[in-house]
Amino acid sequence: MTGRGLSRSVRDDLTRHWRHIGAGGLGIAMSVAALVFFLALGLGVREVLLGEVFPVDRIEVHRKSTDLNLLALKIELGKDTIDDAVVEKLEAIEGVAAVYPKMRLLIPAMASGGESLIGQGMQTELVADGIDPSLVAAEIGDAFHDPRFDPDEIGRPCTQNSDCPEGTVCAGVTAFGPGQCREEIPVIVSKHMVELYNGAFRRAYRLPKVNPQALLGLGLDVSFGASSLRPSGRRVIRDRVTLVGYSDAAIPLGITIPLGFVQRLNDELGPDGAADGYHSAVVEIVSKDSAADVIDAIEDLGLDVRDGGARRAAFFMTVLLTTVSFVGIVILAISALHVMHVFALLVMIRRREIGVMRAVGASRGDVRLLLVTEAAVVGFAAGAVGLLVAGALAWAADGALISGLPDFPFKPETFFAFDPWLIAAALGLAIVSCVLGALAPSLRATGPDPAEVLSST
Amino acid sequence: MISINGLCKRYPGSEVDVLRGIDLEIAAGDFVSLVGRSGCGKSTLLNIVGGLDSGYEGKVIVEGRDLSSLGDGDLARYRRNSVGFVFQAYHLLDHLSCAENVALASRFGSGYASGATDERGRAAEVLDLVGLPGSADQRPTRLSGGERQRVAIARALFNRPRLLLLDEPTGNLDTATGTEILDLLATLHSDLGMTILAATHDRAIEAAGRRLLRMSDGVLMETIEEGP
Repeated sequence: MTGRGLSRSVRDDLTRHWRHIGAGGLGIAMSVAALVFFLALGLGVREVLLGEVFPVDRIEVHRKSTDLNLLALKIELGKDTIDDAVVEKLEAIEGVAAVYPKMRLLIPAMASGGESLIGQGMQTELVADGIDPSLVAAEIGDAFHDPRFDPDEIGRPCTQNSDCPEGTVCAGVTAFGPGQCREEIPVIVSKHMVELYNGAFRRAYRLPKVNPQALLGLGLDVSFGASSLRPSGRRVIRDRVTLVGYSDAAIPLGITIPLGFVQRLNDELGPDGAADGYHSAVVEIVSKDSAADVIDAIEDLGLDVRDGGARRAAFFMTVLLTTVSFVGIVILAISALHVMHVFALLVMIRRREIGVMRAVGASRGDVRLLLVTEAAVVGFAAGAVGLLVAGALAWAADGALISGLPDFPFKPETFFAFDPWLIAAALGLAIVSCVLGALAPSLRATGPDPAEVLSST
Repeated sequence: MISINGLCKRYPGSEVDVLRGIDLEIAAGDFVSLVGRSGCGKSTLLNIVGGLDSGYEGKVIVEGRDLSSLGDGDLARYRRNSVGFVFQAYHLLDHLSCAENVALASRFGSGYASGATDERGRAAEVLDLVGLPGSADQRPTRLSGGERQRVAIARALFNRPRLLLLDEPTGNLDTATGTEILDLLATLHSDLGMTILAATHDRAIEAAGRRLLRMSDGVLMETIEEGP
């Protein structure tokens, strides 16, 4: 059959039989709409649940520790750090995209400042964690990096900030000697810290509410090695930090600074061996679907995965999505049966026409191709309509949910995820359903010889 | 042109042979009339020669091709390019215009009309040839029986076949219209030199044929070689 002939015949037939075909296509369209709506909802919720609430594409791994309970105290037995060899083993696991080691700051620290923000200075103990800057490079950018010491440009000795060039501070000043001019230490914090401040802390202390974006660039003086809880160490290093962004990768309460800097501080001011191992590592997984396998492989290395319910959430979402897909496909299959009935009816109505086509030179394959192409066109159109309906329903549902639900942590901008593969799969399923539905009638239509068909009509 | 040897046909589920050992030779350019009572096997013989029916015993060779050995695609190509078939019931498609009916075969593959001439031009040409100029855009439902049969003949001629098969071409027409169709067939035969095999009850067509074959109960009874 020629391409032109096929397109003309398809156009003629669809125009002529649009009522019958439309009835069959409507069922497919509604099935696709239902399937896509619920799958997009499931995927959207899964994205929030597994991407933000219980992220499984980035899991935190630490060494299994054995604790001895002694009254109110727990005595740690054995090593609780991860070394470079373990990091390499983690990187070698199939499905692991990258491994980002983390190190806790093992010395006390105090921060002071905040006058420009809340009108009065304050001083607080500081908990800090060090992470590989590349872990947050995508969301924070280049601002979060190891503070640069370039002796030729800014590494000159100093005792106060006014000794240093613009954009740098006099950092690392101790009681025993001068510091060096260099950039302030960039820090990131969890956005939940701001929520905690605005929600509870500021009310208790009658402080103003702050805008998270306005806090970016805020600087605090930090004394590493100093503490109000116990006598300060033999050395205290005065430094300055600047807030450069918010990230879920940051420690929930405290500041997160570049890993290299934490290593240097632990090495300089911490106990012996404080900079020798990492306290945990963030493992980035290629796909959420391979999370279970990766977690198993990690546990085989004798490590613990701190998933915070991620596995249960992932399992729940997998069951939910599988159920939704199954129900959707059953509905689609029922619609395909309807399409089969429609095409069987059409073939019956067009029996003489098919006989005439074959009499003038159409092969069985030509007629089947024509019917299957018509079914595919109907499937595509029904799929497109189904997608539009699903999109409209999702838009309406989003509007109702976003405006109707109160604000809560992780509240998304949309509850639906229309992934490109979902759209392609929906169109493909609609086409396949229609084609499968039309297959049997088309085979039946081309079974008898043209003479038999024409003599009976 | 056509060589048939020992052709037998029985329809599935039937106890009776519709065709019983037909042997027949038809030369190129012949006009052969096939007569006999209804149900004697005339249409079945035409259908087999026209490639519309399969499942028979014996050999049917048309222009050197053994039809029983052709696959579905080749048989479709044979129907499209080598043979034109005219039915008693016309079998035009009402949703298509006359020109689209005439050019229907071109949708399924290239024929003589493709390439050199555009389909619509060729359709207009054959409609003109059968005496229906200017009817290309009309629907068959608006035509008389005689005109519809002319459109059916035009469809059969579209791909310039060398063999024209007619199954009771005047069976649904009044005498005057039947005579017009007969005149048209005579003209086509003489002008185009086509081989024509016509199954008919029409005495006029019987008379028009150069050869007259009489069938009875699936058997060719006699051949009368005579004619204009």
